[in-house]
Amino acid sequence: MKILIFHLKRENNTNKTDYLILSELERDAALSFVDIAKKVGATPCTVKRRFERMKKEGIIFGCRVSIDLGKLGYQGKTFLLITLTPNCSKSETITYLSNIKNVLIVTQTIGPYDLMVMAPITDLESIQILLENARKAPNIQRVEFSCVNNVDFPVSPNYRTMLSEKSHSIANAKIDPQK
Amino acid sequence: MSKMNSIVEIDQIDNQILHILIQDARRSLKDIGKECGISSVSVLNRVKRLRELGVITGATLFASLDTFGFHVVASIGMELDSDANVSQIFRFFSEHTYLVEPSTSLGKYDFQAVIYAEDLTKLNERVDLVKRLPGIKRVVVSVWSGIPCLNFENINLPFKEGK
Repeated sequence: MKILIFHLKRENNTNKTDYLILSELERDAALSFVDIAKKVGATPCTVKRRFERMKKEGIIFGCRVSIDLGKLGYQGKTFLLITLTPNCSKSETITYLSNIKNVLIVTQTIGPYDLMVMAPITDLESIQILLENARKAPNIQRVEFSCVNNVDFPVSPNYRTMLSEKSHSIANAKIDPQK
Repeated sequence: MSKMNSIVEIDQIDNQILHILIQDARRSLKDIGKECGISSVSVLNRVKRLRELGVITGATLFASLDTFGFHVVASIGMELDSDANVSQIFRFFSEHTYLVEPSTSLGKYDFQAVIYAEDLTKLNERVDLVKRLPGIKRVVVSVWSGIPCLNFENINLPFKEGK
């Protein structure tokens, strides 16, 4: 009987409370479990338990501080749009690029380019240095770029708003968890 | 590029604290203090200062997008007509939550953003909405594929040496 219950608990997918917790965390990932508990109608102990569970199951990757890079001298972000030579080892290139100073995101893309790289930049010289370093990566055929004057780190606030709202609407669509 | 913000001076310990918080924004003040060799009260005061000066603006949760039902992420780059009404375009983007990080840009594109979608059909619908906006000459879509390499710890936070 005990083993059966354990199995049932295991199959318990992300429930309403989880989504409410996620919704609050998306708004502010540093909220205390006590504050989250008040907002979602659960005990702090439950919130902590569910949070740890979601981390273990790979639903939650982590919480990172948000920084206004403009206050530290940054003026924007550069996106590198990279075309690779045909039939090459992408992983080699991705590893090289992700190790360049200030490169925060390297992603494969489907579209006119093969890879996209994002790095915040302080001034024109840093764009030049970034381009030069990127061009040294293996298997690069062409590097184009685009610069925005956004300085939010790691992502902009509307990303959090979007996920918070989505999480909330998923929670509302779910039935209440059995007490 | 953006207006010159008043730049905040931080020291080596602030830099260390920020890097710890970039890895895990929920770490206890005591833990952070131990790692930096200062008291938890000092950590609290430093974090407070960084918040008040606008360096720290909050904390972001990173969770699997599939949990939220978003299985597709795409970057879009747009070329605008010379008479495009940019504020109208910004307004359109702010009205749709799945259109994120809108920004005018220099270089290959005039305007950039990121679209989140549940599936490719939804992505197509949303891209079409953008294409139909007045002033849009061309929309280039790059769908993110595979697992992106996110290296947020790689950010250089300039600080003043010594003290």
